[in-house]
Amino acid sequence: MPGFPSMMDSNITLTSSLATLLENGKYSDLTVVAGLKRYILHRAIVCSQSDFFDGACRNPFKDAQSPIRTIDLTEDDPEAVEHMVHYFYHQDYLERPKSRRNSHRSLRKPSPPRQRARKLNFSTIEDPLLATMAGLQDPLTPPDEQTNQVEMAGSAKYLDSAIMDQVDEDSDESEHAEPNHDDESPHLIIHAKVYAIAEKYGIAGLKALSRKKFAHQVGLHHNSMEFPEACQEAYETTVDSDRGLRDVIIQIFRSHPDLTQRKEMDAVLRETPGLAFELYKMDRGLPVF
Amino acid sequence: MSIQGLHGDEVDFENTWAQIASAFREIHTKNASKLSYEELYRHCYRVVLKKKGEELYKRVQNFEHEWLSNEVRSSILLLVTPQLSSHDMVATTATEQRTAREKFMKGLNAAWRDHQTCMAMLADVLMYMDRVYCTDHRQISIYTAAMFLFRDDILCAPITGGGGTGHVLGLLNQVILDQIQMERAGDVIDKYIIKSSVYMLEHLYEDESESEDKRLYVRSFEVQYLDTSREFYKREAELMLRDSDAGAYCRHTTRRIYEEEDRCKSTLSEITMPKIKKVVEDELIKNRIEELVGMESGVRFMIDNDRMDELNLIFDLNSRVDDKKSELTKALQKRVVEMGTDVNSAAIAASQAPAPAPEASEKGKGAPAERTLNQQTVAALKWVEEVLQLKDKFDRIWRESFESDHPLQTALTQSFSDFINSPTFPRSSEYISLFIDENMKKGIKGKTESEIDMVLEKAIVLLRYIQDKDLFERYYKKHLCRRLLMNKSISNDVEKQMISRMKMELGNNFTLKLEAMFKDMTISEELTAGFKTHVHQLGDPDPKRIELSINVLTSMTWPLESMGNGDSEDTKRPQCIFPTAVDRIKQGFEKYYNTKHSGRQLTWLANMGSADIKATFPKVPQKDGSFKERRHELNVSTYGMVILLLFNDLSAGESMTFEEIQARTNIPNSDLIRNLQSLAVAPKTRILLKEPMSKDVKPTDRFFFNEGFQGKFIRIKVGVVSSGNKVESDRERRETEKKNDDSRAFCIEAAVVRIMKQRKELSHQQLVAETLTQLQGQFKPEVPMIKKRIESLIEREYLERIEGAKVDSYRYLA
Repeated sequence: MPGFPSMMDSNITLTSSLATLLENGKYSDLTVVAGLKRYILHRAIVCSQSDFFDGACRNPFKDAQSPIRTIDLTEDDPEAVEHMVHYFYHQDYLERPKSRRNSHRSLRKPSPPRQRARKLNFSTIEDPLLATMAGLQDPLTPPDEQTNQVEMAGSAKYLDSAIMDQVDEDSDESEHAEPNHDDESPHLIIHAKVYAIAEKYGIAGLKALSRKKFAHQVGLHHNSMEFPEACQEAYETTVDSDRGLRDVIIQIFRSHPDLTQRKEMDAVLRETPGLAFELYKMDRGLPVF
Repeated sequence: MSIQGLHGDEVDFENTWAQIASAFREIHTKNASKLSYEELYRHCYRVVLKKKGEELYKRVQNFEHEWLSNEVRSSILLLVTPQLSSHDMVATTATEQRTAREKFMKGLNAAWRDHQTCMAMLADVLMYMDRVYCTDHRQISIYTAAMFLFRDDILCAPITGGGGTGHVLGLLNQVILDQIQMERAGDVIDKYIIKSSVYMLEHLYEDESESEDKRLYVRSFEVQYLDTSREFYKREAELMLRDSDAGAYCRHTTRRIYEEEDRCKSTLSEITMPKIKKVVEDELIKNRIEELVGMESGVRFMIDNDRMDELNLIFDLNSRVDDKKSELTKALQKRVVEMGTDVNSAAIAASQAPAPAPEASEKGKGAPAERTLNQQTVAALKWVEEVLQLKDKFDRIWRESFESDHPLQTALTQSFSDFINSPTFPRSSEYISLFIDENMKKGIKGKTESEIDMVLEKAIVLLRYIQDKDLFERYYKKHLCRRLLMNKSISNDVEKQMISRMKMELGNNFTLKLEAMFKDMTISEELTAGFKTHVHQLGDPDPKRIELSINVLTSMTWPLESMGNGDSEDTKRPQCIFPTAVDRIKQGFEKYYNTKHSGRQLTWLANMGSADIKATFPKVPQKDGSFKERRHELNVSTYGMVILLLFNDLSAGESMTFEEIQARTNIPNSDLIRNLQSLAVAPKTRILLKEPMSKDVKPTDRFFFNEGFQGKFIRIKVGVVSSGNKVESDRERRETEKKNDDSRAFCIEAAVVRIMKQRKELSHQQLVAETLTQLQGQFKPEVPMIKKRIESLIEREYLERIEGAKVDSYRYLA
């Protein structure tokens, strides 16, 4: 980020400094390789959130001696890895367009995010939070700076409470359907994959978050083309006792019995005996698990 | 290796396991740096995902079991050599033994450390199995499981052919015990090695509950440690008591306790500290304290020789095993009473030894006799000083050695009270009062305020111990009475300070009458002054007028009966016949007094007054040849004045017999004898001459005015024998005690009536108990006396017995 705002100095909070760390890779002592990408990371941040990474760094296995430990996650889904890495530094991934939370919690005039993104040409940046921050240097906003500062200072807290909010949403997700800005894709498959990788590497927070996101999206998009494959993904990447996504899926089938009739489901059911078995039990009115 | 996607791909379990097992072998042989953690993690993850978690868990367990029993165990058993066992002393030196032991422990510690390290790595690789399989199937984590394997495959491995200890753990325990025993005997050992072994035992458990008290350390080692230590200290206590003195024993014990504490910190485990301390305290202190305290060099010796440090050690040791410190307390109290009883006996002996019975000093020397302290008074003062010294000694011990411990202070106070109030020594009250008396009259002369304060404080300290406060009050009143009437007190202020101190210590009631005495004195001064003015106003011009200074004493307040000479017969004292001039002024005062207080009767106590007389001795040749008139001012007792005035009426050379004097004055026999002794026998105040000249005064003796009297001074004080306060004779004491008992009887009756008036009905037991409580502050009544008073009250119909009550009970009759 050339010339990244000196104005921002006063606005630096933990979240944004973490985001900056990920962005510039300063003080990195850990590299994660996934597909073609290399992520320049920090043990202090990553290992404290994942037992797997902690294990990788604390034992004298291969590469343990090198100053920058490289962990090869080539076998994992590159997109899931990317979201995982993003999560480590932002406590979120595939964030909903920025203005939502902000408009709820600040007095800042809601300006169409997309518009600004275009205007500042941040469309290539996937990180909406970065885009938001970039937006803060908009010369039009200074009058509100005071408010922004307050909001930024509290944003670390908001981060937590945002997750908590989502937990709450979980119970009444169906009625809490708000218009989705990002309705091109419900990301069902990718949420299931993030869930799986969180489970695999022992990242409790991410697991909970991805489940929330999956549940929310599947409530809105059960008719999505992605749904069958997402079901299969969910059932095959975790053990049977892991009810996180399974319960969400069974619940959807329960409220929409016609889903089983969809043609694309046939092949999935054939290949996913776990799901087929549970649907059978559900159909017979037996306890599913 | 790479598996594309997870859809339906069968994991070749055996194949994967082979890779995992080989990696584990590398880890155990410290070649982990070749291995990719991510890859291993993924293998295990995939196996578990494919529902092979249980199989994997079992394979790992088995792998570890094989590894431990095939690779590790043999290396440990190699270290088990005959030198290890302390029982085969055949050809083994201590150094060889120690080396063998340390080698054995080091080997075992190293094996344990390696196992821990490797299992930590394995557990990280198997993290997903632990998290998913073990949690879901309630299996202990693989790490924990492997720890149990170490216990079973290594520590419980049987030792064949060795000293017969059975298994490695038993041998390890024995080795540690032997090392510690060496250290106790004064050798230097490697504590760190033992600490490592203990650390291992602390992290291995007897069962899967992994609760604190199931640690192998606690279940296996510690039990043996405490047992052997108990035996060791038991033997040591025996030897020490036989061979050392008490002080050395205390120091050694203190050191042992410290050593054991230190050993727990540096060598073993802190959880053992309270347990081993208890063992040492039991064996070296609790079971031996009685012997220790009673040793020849024990508490008594320490007290007698002021061994403050050793007493402190004993105190410390006793406190460790007994909050009450019973043994020390017992010994201490015994010693206080012993020493106190010695002081008592010495006082009695001193008062009896020279045995010139109180009357002896009356013979002849009037004035000087008063200055020379009576033998008994000396004994009393000595007793007070010695008791105070004793108290100082024990106070110092208490402060310096007993850390100002409160229960011990109570015990000391109790013991002091015990010997001071001992039934074999009934003189404490009198002695203390005499001590004060002596100081008031002479002792405080020239002392600074703070020194006087200290004297008063001493008196109060002793007074606190006195149980029968009423008896003390009786003596104090008597002594005070004399001091006041005879003007013997050096300072009225100090007298009042003493009273206010007693007031603080014993309460208002106690000092009420004492204060009333002072009040009488003040009023009397006013009366004297008032009367003087009154006479002056009457315009009596008589230049020969007698000046009257008078003390009007309230009869109930003053112990006037004790002001007599102790003869109890003459309580009804006959009125003395005063010379006319004196009688006139007496009547004048009575008139004056009646105008101030009508209806009060004044009784004149001639036996207690004194008079200043101006005497003129005529010109007669003196021994030194001079020939002139001599004037003297004579200070005599009132009786003396009455007697001397008789001779004014006689012409020179005339005489009077004893009987004539008595008839004309009506002075009681004994008083007359004493006064005549002072006037006619004592050489320096021989104003009269007696015929025949002898020390005794007989009824047939004749008395003349001594015209040739010669005195060195103008003012001459004619002392009357026995006017000072001194220790009572036995007869007097019986007298005093009888009087005291009488007043006690009255107090008891009053208390009983007070109680019954309030309670109406009460059982005998309760009544006695309550009476005792009520009178606590004054004296300790004897139960038979209470019983007698109750009987008397029933007779007089204050109370009645309740007929048919289960226990003896009384009812109050209004």
